[in-house]
This record gives sequence, structure tokens and C-alpha cells, in this order.
Amino acid sequence: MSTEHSKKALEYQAEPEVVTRHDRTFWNVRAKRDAMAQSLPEWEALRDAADRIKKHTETHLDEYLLKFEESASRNGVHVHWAEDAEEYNRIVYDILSAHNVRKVVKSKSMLTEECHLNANLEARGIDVVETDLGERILQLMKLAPSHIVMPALHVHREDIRDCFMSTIPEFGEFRQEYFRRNPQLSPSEVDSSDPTMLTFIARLHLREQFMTAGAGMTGANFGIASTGDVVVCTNEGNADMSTAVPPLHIVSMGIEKLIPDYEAMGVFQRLLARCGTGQQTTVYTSHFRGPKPGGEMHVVLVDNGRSSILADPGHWQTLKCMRCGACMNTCPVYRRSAGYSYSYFIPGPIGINLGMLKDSGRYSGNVSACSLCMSCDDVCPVKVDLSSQIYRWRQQLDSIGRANPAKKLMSYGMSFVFNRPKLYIGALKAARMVNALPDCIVYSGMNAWGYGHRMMEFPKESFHSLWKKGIDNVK
Amino acid sequence: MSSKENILSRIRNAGREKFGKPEIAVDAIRYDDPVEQFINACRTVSGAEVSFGTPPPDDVRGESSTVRGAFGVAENGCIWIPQTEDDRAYLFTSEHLDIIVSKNDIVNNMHEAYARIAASSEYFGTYKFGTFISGPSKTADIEGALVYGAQAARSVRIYLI
Repeated sequence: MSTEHSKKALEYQAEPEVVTRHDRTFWNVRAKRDAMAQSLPEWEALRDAADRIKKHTETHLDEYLLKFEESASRNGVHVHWAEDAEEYNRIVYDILSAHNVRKVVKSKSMLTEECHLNANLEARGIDVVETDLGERILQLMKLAPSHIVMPALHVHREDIRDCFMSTIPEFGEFRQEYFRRNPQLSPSEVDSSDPTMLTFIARLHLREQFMTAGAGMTGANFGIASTGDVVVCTNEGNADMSTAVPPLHIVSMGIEKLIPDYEAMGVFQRLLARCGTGQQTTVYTSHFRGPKPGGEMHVVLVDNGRSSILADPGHWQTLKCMRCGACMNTCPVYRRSAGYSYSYFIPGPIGINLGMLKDSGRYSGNVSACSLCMSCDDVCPVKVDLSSQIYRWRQQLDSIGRANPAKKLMSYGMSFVFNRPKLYIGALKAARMVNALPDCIVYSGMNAWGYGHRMMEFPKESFHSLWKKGIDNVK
Repeated sequence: MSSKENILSRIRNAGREKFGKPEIAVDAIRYDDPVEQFINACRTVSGAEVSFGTPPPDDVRGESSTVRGAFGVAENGCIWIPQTEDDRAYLFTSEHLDIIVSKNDIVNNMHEAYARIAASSEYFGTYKFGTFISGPSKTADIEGALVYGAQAARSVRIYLI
């Protein structure tokens, strides 16, 4: 009966305090985003501009890709094109292996998750070190991200401490260093899973990685076609650390990330952090326009299904998405079911849609994860019609053989009744009898709508008959 | 055909209606006193300290660096720092960063900031890197608890001249 998502979500409900904490954590981010939106009188004008810039760019993507390539090449950047994940992984490996790189430091990139780059490189003997703190925690714990912007917020500090203790050999040494630098603190009074201390330990641990890596990899928040800039936004500065030390910089960029020029960049810079984390700006907004002296910079432009999305009339606008995560923070289903309830690696409203575009047979279990409240549409900075798209997927479930058979049977029944007025009126009168039926029948496995919530009580008099009376009164 | 040609041809054959390039007419926020707003944003948004005048020569801090910022942005406390020498790692590896910026070089918002970079030939010449920095490096990746000094500078002091 239940979809894959609803089964996983039910398991997640086993610990109500965990659910409440998750819900509140992301609702707070949503509230911070609201405060940002309300503090700018031009907020809706910004969203409108972002939507129109993206619509323009995505429908002229061939021109902008060529322009970007031309600008980047002029700046001394090597530009590569990858049709799919396999080609992308091969290109990255070839660049690394040509430079004899054994270790890569990497800042956050959902594209590398999408293409399973880390596993691919590791299988070929290249050590990949995630440098975003949340991503590093997940990597050390061998977990997948649960959110696209705040990937490890579901992990508890005690588990992070235990993981660090078992995976960072210098844990004790780094902890001592923390207290040496903070003499006002007493080791016995500081909690062993104190976030400030754990962050410091991770800082020292990652510093060693930055200094010993042969290459730095980043994603791209934006690619500016007119100048060839790759723009990366972080709060930690880990993209800058990853690229400032090693001589080789490889950028992984989905082809939809392009924007035309600096004028457009002003619009997106103002929206990204405000929508994503409720900050006025990320701490670092870095523009990489070319290799550093004596170094090399490569940009890999990755399609991996994006050009097919462009050809989909009902769903091409998902390409406008800039992965801020606002749609998941606001989503009542995401907040109460968390990232692992979704079978696609990107959860929430945008993930439901992107998963269906990737493989509708495999990821259709996610389309039930929507109450059609449409809150995601209201917060999306680029106005992707996320909930309408989910609605459209649901309409198509039957055609891909993924409709719920019980609901389908009942829909046929309803259709039969609704098309026969006399039968319908008779059924309406009879429906009141349901009120008197015991719960064991109403909430039996036969009634798909009786699962997980109370059924309505049928009223004594139907709207139909009230309406008729009203007409008689007017007459 | 090459991958590049395949990708471009799929895009061209996608059959999408073409949307024109929009006029970006955002009536963006401006401030009566951008410098005051900038100071306020640095202290509250960025978590940076703000002082007036140049950094004292005897300002001895462990592993500290000083850099000249090109201009500041009032709405969010960002400072544009173009790379001006061979090494840029110190901007991020230093424990503490002093940033000097002129009071005469504060713009209202990011639209003005990007218009200024686009109009200037000063940046991206020899060194093809520039970054907006807004205060010390921070993270909230452990249970959402805000911690300063994630990977890069743990503290930032802005000197307004």
C-alpha cells in the first residue's frame, strides 16, 4: 500500500524527539530566510529577475556554453565537456593521473555526489578528502548527505565526537592544542562533544590535508559566461583553502549553472545565502577566473541528463534551480521525514522532481512526499513550480505502472459513480452509514485514505441537497 | 561527433521557446549613511571587529596577516579583495586577518559592487582571482551551533581609513 518514502518516513517517526528536533532545526532556517526576505523591499523584484534571467539563460544554453568556453579558454582555463557521469569521472581521473596526484581536497559539490566521483577515484587509488565540515563528518562516518546545503545537521554531536576519536589519529593532540590556545577553559568543564572544540579539531585535521594534497576540486555555484568566472560561495572558506595551496584546480559544473554576466551575478549573490541559510551573504564569494601563477585550472562542463530535462515541456524549469535548499527547509514533509526517507540523493521538493527526471521508475516512491501545500513554490528564489510539477508526476504514475492499486480501484469506482447522477445521489445518502461503522472496517487495509489520518464524518445533509434548497429559496 | 557537439545539438533540438534577455531593473536598497550601515553589517552580520585608522605596526597577533580591500558593501559587510601578489593562501590560512578599506569606497549593495568590478580594468589582470570576504570563517555544521574559525581566518578586524 505505502510508497517507499512513506515506509521510510514511518520508521523515522520511531523517535519523536529526533523528528521534533529535525523539524525545528530546519524551520528555524526557514524563519531566518523569511526575516531576510522581509528586510528587503525589493525581494519579489529580485526573485522575478532571477526567474527571468534563468529562463533566458537555459533557453539559450548553447550560446552561453560556447561563450563561457571562449572566455575561460582566453583566461588560460582548460574546458572539458562530459555527456554523462562516466565520461566526467574519466576526465577528472585523467587530469589527476596526468599530474600524478594521489590526494585531492574537495569542497562541497552535489554534482560529484550525482556522478559518484569519490568512489570512482578511490577505486583507482586516489584519496579524496571532503573539506566542508559537514561533508567531512559524513565521509568519516560513511554516511550520505541528508540535505544539500546543511548535509550533516541530522548527526548528533556525541556521534561526531566518537567518529573523530576513532578516525583522526591526532584527536588527543589536537584537543590539547585547543586548551593550550584557550587557557581560560578548563578541560574538565568543557563537554567532550562541544561543537567549538570539535570544529577546532577538524580544522587542524583538515589543515594537514590542504597542505599535502596534489589538487583541489570545487563545484560551481555560478559560471559567468561573459568573463569565464567560476563563482563558489562558502562560509568556511574551504573552497579557497582547497584551491589556494595545491597548484591544480578542477571545477565540476553542471551545464545549467551558467548565468550571462556580472549584472546577473548581483541578483543571484543577493538571493543565494538569504534563501539557503538566512544569511545576508556567505562569508566567501570567490571568483576563480583562471589558474594561479604556475598552476593549472580545468573546468568540466557536465550534461548527465540536463539537456534531456531541457526537452521536457513539463519539467524543464527545474534547470533554473540553484540548489539553495529553501524548498526542503520549508517542506513540512521533509522536515518531519528527513533526507534518508527519500530514495534520490537530493531530498525535498526539488529532489522529488530531479529524481523523477533521472529515473521515474526507480524514484517514483518519492512523489507521495508532498502535501501539495505549495510552500516550496513561494520560497523558491527562481520560481520553480515545484509542487505543480510533483502533481503532474502523480498524474503520470499510472502510465508508468506505479499507481497505488487500491487507490486506482477506488478511483475507478468513484469515476463510475460520479458519472451516474442517480447512483451518486443514492450513494451520498448511503454514505452517512459509514459514520456508524466500527473503526475496524473503516480503517481496514481496504481504505487507502483511512491510513495515517482520521476520515471525515459524513454530514447529515449533503451539500448537494443544501444547494438545491437554496435555489428553491431564491426562486 | 564529440561530446561537446552532442551536448550542444541536444540543447538545440530541445525545442524550447526562447525567452529574451530581461532588463534587470531591481530598485535595490540604498542607505542614507552607507558607511554606518557597513560598520553595522560587519559587526552584526559578519562577526568582524571594526576599528578606525591603520593597523598599529606593533599589532602582534599569532599568524596574522593584513590585506587592502578594494571596496566594501554596506548591505552585507562584504569586502572585495582582488589577488594582488603571487600567493593568495595567506588570505585563508592566517589565523587572523586585518582588512583595510577606505570609507570613501563603500557601495550600497551587490548590484553596485558587481557594476564596479565589471567597469574596472584593475582586477583579474595578472592574477585571475578575487573574493568577497565578510568576516571570519564560520560553520554551523555540528547541530547548527555557530562556530567561528572553521577552515580559514578565525577572526577578522576591519580598519576603516
